[in-house]
Amino acid sequence: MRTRTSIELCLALVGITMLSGTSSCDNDLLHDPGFDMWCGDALCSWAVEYGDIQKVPTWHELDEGARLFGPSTSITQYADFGHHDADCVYFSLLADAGDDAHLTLELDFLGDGSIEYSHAIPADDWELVGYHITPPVQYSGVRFHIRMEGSGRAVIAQVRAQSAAREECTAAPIVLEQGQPPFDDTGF
Amino acid sequence: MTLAPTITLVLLAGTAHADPGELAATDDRYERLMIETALGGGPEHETAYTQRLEDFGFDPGLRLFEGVFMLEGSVVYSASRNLSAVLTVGNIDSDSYHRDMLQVGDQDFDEYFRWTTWRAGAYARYSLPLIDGWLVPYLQGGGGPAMALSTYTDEHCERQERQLGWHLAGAAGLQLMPDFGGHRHVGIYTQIETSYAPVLDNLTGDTHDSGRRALMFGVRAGY
Repeated sequence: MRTRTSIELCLALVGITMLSGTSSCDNDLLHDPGFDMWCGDALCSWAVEYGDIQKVPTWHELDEGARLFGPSTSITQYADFGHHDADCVYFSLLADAGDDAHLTLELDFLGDGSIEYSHAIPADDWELVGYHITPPVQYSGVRFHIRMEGSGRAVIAQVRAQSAAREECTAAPIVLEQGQPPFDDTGF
Repeated sequence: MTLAPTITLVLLAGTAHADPGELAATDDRYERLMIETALGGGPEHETAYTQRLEDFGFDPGLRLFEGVFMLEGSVVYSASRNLSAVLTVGNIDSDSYHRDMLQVGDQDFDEYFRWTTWRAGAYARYSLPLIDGWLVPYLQGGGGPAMALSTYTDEHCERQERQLGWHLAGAAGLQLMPDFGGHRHVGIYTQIETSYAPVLDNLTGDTHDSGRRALMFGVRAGY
């Protein structure tokens, strides 16, 4: 390990660390996808809409996740990106949920309170699950909701949304509901 | 006696007609206590533990050598020409993962998780001297305790943990022991070994096997 560290340090010194590639976080659309930042007993970047959460360890004591308590808890985060940033979104979740705990992802495009996308998330034994979501053709801002219903135990370690290549999204774009305010393309 | 292998071969052939006293003297000509030190390594292997690390966003990063460097030292006591007891201390595993984080305010920081696993083992070795003891192939096997030292570093602190376990190991090796005036005080050897060391655990129930196949090269000396 020391040898490897020394080698990597040497590489950095000669300025070829650019070979190490890009960070997996470079295209993250959510803040704190790993639930690592806590402000006291609350998540700094996620808001609790209702219910209770608790900071709990995941695979390691120092790598914390959020336990969502039943019978009903919801956490949310508004992500300030639009169709110019992501015309295909890869969503992934890493969680451990019992049989009596049901997790659902809901997306509110434009953040106007109208849920345009809802999908049950299978979560068991810390298996990483993910899929692509085709966003609307035009949108600005997305509110993510993670809802937990049931009496079982549910711990979330990671909720990640990343921009992906357009060709990876094969489904039709989500259609925004009628009656929404006109789309303003002048910026956020 | 001689430094030339060809002459030694002749002498070995001649032992068929040597008297029992000479045979006994030849049979006693081996070093009782040897010190061995070896350097080598083996390939890394993926386990449920390392897969879990990657699921949680940790990345092994750029590596010039997809393996583990190993250093070990041994004390060998030979009870006879064929049987020895070996005590070995060395590392058998080390690795490092990091995770890029994105803090609020776009201030980046990384998290690191590293570990090194050490073993202390007691092994039985069966040796079969050839060519009057110049070449000594051997097999050995045994086990003992193992310890993993891990370090988790995040933006706030660095936590070290020590986990204790056990290991089993087996090896096949070949020694080259030159004859210097009737004594074989120094030599070199190579050894292929395999080990199993389920030491490193995480909170999700995965255990990392720190054991591996490895190729070692070493020197040995004694009296």
